[in-house]
Amino acid sequence: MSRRDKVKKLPNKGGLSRHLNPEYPKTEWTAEKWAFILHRLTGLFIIFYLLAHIWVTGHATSPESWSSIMSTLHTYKWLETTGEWLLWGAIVFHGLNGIRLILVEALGWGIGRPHRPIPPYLPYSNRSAQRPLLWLVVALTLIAWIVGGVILYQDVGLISW
Amino acid sequence: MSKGEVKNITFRIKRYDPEKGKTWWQEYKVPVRRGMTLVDVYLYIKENLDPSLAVRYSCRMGICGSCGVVINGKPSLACETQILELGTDVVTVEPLPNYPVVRDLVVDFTGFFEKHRMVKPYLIRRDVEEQENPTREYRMLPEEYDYMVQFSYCIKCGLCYAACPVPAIDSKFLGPQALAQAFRYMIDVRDEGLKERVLVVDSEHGCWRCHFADACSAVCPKGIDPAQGIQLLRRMLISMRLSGVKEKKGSPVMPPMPPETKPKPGVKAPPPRTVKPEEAMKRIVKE
Repeated sequence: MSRRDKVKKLPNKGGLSRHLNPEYPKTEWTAEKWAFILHRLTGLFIIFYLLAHIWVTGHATSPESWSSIMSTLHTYKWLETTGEWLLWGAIVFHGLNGIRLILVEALGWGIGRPHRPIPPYLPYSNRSAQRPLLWLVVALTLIAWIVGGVILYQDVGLISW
Repeated sequence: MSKGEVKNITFRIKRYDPEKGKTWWQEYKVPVRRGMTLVDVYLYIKENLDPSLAVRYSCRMGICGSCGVVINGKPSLACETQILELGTDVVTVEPLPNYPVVRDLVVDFTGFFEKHRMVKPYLIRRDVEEQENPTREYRMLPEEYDYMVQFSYCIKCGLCYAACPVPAIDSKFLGPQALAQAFRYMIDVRDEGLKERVLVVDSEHGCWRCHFADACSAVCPKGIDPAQGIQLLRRMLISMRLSGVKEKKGSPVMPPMPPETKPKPGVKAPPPRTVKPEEAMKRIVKE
């Protein structure tokens, strides 16, 4: 065992937990890093919703049990609609951003071509076509989310024109 | 700010003592002049305020890649960061994340270099004899060189690996540096080691673990675009799988030079030299 290995080293992990820690200054995050975090969170939300959905509907073995489950859910109408609204937003973002990621990661689209670096060294992948596409994804998600929210809450009668 | 003016700036440095296993933030007040980099501040602190601060730097001009730290939340090279350009009265300095900290601002790069070695960052050729005792250079067009040269500017400073969000999830992830180096040799027309590198890169901890957060490219001090390289590497692997290509033929050795060149008929001969080479050499030696 060398002397170097005897030193007790501090594991200094990066990632989300470090960035949420108020002790550290806020790192300069790229828009793509935010998109990655959001993509992962929405993906987790969708998968857990799907599991819960299968579990709930799997319990309905007869028309009576189905209607009893539905009536339990309908007692918290406001909560149910909000959950559906969040799910809609998550699905739209995850789907649209997924298309963007397929274009960028599998087809190598929108990240420029390797070239000789020229000062002031602004990398192509940070400012080529995939960045405006990310803003388009965010804009479309917001529009779809707001429209979906209006339709959902109108159905419940929580908002009316 | 004029040339001689001095501004007092507080440096908040994250420290770690391996003997006591204790971490803490320490503040130093340093008078900063225009043009002072963080390395100059290290030296000021060590000379005047606290000799126990452990730092690492070597060339102080962005070539050696050993002074990477997180400055005000952004992984940067200490030698290339001018303090007054940051524009803050308090400058936070901490060791690079995703690496084990040895002491204060010094981190352990062993794993990082290990990953770099894994992708075999050297030219692999089947004609070993020619490679060991070269007769002439391997053929490479200027545009092929321009396509690949960006990734060969890497100085292994490790900032990209510190900015990447993936090592927090998967500590065995090869990282932007190693993957970009693998790509650099895979697109090199002279290289024949495609099969060996695909084995390393096309794996669980290889290029499929990248999620395109693009933070590596944003912090690279050399203008390299590792994120771009990794995406193009993935495209390359997908097209290789679809087309069934597994090997690559390296470019051939350049043909030997013609023994002598004859002037074209009708072209005038150059004027005689005004200074003979031997005389020019004598003049240089005299001076």
